[in-house]
Amino acid sequence: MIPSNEPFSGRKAILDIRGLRVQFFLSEGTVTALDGIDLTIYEKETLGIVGETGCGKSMTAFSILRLVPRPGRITAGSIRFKGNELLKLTNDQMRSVRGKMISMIFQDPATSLDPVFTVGSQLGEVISLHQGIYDQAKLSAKVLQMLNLVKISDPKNAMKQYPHELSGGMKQRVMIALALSCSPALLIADEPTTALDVTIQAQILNLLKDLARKTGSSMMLITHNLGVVAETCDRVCIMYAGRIVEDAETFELFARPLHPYTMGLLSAFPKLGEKKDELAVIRGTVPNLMIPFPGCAFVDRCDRANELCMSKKPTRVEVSPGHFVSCHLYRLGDEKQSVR
Amino acid sequence: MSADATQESTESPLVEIVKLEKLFPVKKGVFSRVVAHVHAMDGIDLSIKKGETLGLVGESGCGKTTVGRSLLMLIPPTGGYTFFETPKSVVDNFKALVRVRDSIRPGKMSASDALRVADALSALFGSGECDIADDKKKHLCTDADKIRKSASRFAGTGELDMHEGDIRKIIESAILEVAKKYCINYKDKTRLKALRARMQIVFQDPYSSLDPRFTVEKIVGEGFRIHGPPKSMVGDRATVEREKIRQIIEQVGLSESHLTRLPHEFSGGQKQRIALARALALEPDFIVLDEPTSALDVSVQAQALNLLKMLQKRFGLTYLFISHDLSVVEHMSDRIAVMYLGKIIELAPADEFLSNALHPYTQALIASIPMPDPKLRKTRKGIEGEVPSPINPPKGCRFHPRCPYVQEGCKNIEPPLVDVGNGHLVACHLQKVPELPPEIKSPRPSPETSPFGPRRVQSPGPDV
Amino acid sequence: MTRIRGRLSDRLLSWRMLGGARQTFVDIFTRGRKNGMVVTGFTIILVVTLLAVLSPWLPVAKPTALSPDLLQAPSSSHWFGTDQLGRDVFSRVLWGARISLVVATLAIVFSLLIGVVMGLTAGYFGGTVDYVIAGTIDLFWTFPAFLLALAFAAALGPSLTNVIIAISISYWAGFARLMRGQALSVRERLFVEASRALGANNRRIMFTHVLPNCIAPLIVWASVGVADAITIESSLSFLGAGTQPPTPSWGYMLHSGLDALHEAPWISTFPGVVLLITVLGFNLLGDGLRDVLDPRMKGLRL
Repeated sequence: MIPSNEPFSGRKAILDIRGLRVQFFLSEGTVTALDGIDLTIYEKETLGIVGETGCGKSMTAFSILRLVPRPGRITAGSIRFKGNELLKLTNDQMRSVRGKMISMIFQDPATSLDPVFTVGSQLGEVISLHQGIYDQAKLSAKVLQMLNLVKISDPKNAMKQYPHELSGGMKQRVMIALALSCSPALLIADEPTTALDVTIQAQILNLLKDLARKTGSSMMLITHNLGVVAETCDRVCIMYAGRIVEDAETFELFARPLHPYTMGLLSAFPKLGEKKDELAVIRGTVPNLMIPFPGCAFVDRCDRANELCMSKKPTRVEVSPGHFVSCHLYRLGDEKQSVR
Repeated sequence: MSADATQESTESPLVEIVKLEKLFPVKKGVFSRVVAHVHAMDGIDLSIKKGETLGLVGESGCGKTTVGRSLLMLIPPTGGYTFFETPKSVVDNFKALVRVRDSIRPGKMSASDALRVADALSALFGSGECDIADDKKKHLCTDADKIRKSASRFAGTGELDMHEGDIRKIIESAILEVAKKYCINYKDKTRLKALRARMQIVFQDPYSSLDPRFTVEKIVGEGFRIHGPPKSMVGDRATVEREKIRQIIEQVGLSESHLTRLPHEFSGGQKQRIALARALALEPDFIVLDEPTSALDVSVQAQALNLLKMLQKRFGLTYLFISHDLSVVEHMSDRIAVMYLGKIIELAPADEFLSNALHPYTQALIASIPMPDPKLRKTRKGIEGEVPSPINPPKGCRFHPRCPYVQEGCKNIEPPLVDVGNGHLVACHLQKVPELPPEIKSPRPSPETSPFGPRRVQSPGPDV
Repeated sequence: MTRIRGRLSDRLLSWRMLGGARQTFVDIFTRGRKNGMVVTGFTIILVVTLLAVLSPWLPVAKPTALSPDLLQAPSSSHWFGTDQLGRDVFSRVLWGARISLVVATLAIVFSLLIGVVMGLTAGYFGGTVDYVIAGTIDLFWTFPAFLLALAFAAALGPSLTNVIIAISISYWAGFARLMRGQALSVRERLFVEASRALGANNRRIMFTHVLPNCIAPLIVWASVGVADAITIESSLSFLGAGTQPPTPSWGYMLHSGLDALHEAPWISTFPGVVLLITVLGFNLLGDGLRDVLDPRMKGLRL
């Protein structure tokens, strides 16, 4: 196990999650949405979290902001942000973290903006709350500045418009402006472009990258699209059934995927220009998270599973510098020799 | 999966779409005045061969979903003609007649124009292929001869003794006769119902396309309630239906035990399989796939796409595959059409499409797709501007406000869809062969000079 | 002959089609079991209904039987006491239940039938049809059931049939409006379009797809509606515009016990209390069902 907060390539970690467990207590049973995940985000980097429906990626984001919906609860683990333990903060303290130091963009811009307030007033509200600016003129100037930052054409007019009058791409830009208005250290983007057209998606992703670089924020980009990850992220985490199965630098992950799930995901993705009759398929389906399983979560769908995989949960091993995987095929102690 | 695009096919297309149009009125005000129109489809021409998969790509507002639904008359079109299993000669001659009609400016019909009309009419009705009532055919042929005589009589002076209005009336009645006999959107209720068994659709959203109160068995078997038991099997009705349902459900990869369950007990991928089974139960020839995998996870999508391909091979199905995801469309299709604001702006065989995309919008689309290979990462300029609204589209070429190659002429004249060879059609002034109108002068955009960044797609390898 | 048989089997098919609503009832049963209000309400209704139905065979005096024991307090022989004419209050309460339940149920059933058909047609077809029907709904919506019934009684003479008709006339609009709203939203769902793509005609879609998906809120309203109807009928009978003596009904008993309120409070009180409990039962059931049938949290986003 890597000791926490150890800088990788000399960079400082701004977010450090250890052993995070989130469970939902329903009348039918207990769903373990996150099963002890370890995650680190360093300064000025973009981390991609990839996984399919139900893997827990959105829940990770909600946990960081302590917005886990009832009947869910964080039942174990620690989340340290810039050295402070977030899980020990009071509600008031947490409120000042949200939006100011860690902010979030959601998937569907249509429902994330309040339809009865203009764009300008929503932006203004966030800015005045967190930066204490109440003078109208100063506020308007700041709002304009933000709208220019996200490259909205004709920002003066846009300020007076209501969300429903804007297109999907523009709404998402407003969301980004909202999120970045207080220059947070960490920006969490939960599937920010999934609901958008592909040409607009390209614009928004470029914008996010540019802005993150400009403001020096780190970004946690949650998506199910491997292409988006390849284009925008410095490091990638692959999640499955509430656990992180592999994480590495982007180039490394795509060049040398180690975990069978990662390999399956990469082959199942239709790539433009690649002539294939059939796409490689990961057989089976995602396991039911209500039933606790002692071994590896992927065991039913893995072609290389053995008995150990059924009974013991794999530990996170660093197979090469910065490349971690949780799979029994790679054992602690033989980093350079992987057993296949 | 090879596309014989170079060789002119002599077989009849399974589905033929001619100048299909759908305009939705936009009403405002207390009295619901119509202030504008949403141009969902604005003159679509498509031809789908039996056994092929035609991919239809575009972003929101382009009208691709409307095409699929109009074809099946779920949204009746406001104009145009859709044909299903019509003999090739009828379709070709019909299209020729329509083309002739549209090429003559109102009030400016000359003798040579009239001659062309007469020829088109004779071609359509003279041969034995066109299957309308004999007396009507005779009548129209006589009309054609009348026009021809009148035209040649005044060939010298260039003026006709028949009124243009009368000629146009004859043309319209001819078109109407053919439409009533052959066109899907002119069929009456009973004939349409019979046709529905041959053309089916699978929708995008698996969650709402299945009635939550119906068991899987009832969902898949609903077609039999409407059309009667499957004709390919003999026996008493109940047994035959049950057997067919059982067969289909296994063919889509589910099991018999699933038949008594309700939709909410299944995952998204499984729900789509059920929807597919429902479509297949009636043994259709043609299926419209309206974004069938957009709501599914990557690994589930892979399963679904493989299944679709397998079923196509097995049953000889023809697909219209509609999606906004170019990677998926390219994987599935033999030919790909790109739509923008209600018009088709490019159509090409899949190989040709990637290696030689000509329309600037297509190039932008291809460039925008994030590829799962970080080595291909580069700074590319996305296309500027928002996806426009189909209400009151721009004049001239609809893409001109966002086009990096825009010329003066592009703002006023709408480019027609022209064949540039190899089965590749494109609607861009800069591709028009052989002559560019004088107001449009510029080197033709090509993938190499595209401002959207160097082409990342390698030319495809040998056919699998 | 075959055509008639065909039409008949089609009609029967419609009934089978409503089996699509079976799922709603299954839901009600499984989830309702756990809901306190549903259980309480249902129990009350069950008890009252059973007693009402079985009253002719129960070992109590006939409700109209006169006896010399006038104004007797509740005792072991007369559980609820006797009234001014020596009639057993307990049996009169039981028989009164029959009247109230029958009148209320019939009234609501008729309202439902009219309302559902009108609302479904309006919501499904839209356009001019909807315009006309919606206008009619609005018109009838304004009729207060109680006053209408009084007017009927005044004009046509008091009778239970008039009460039933009056309640139906004013109540159907509420059901129709509810049904219309539901139909409007259900008809937009994709499975309706899928059915159309299969070749289904409007009638099939309306009765097999749209209707079963709209039933849930109707059940809630119907339950509350019965409570309301019972109250209306009792009020009318209280005023003498509903049931006529000697037919025992709660409203009439309330009225007749008014004079004797000091000496023999049991004549009015018992019917009043039973009326209260019954109405409460239907209201509880309706409220509980509303909670049960509410679309639950649509799955957790993990």
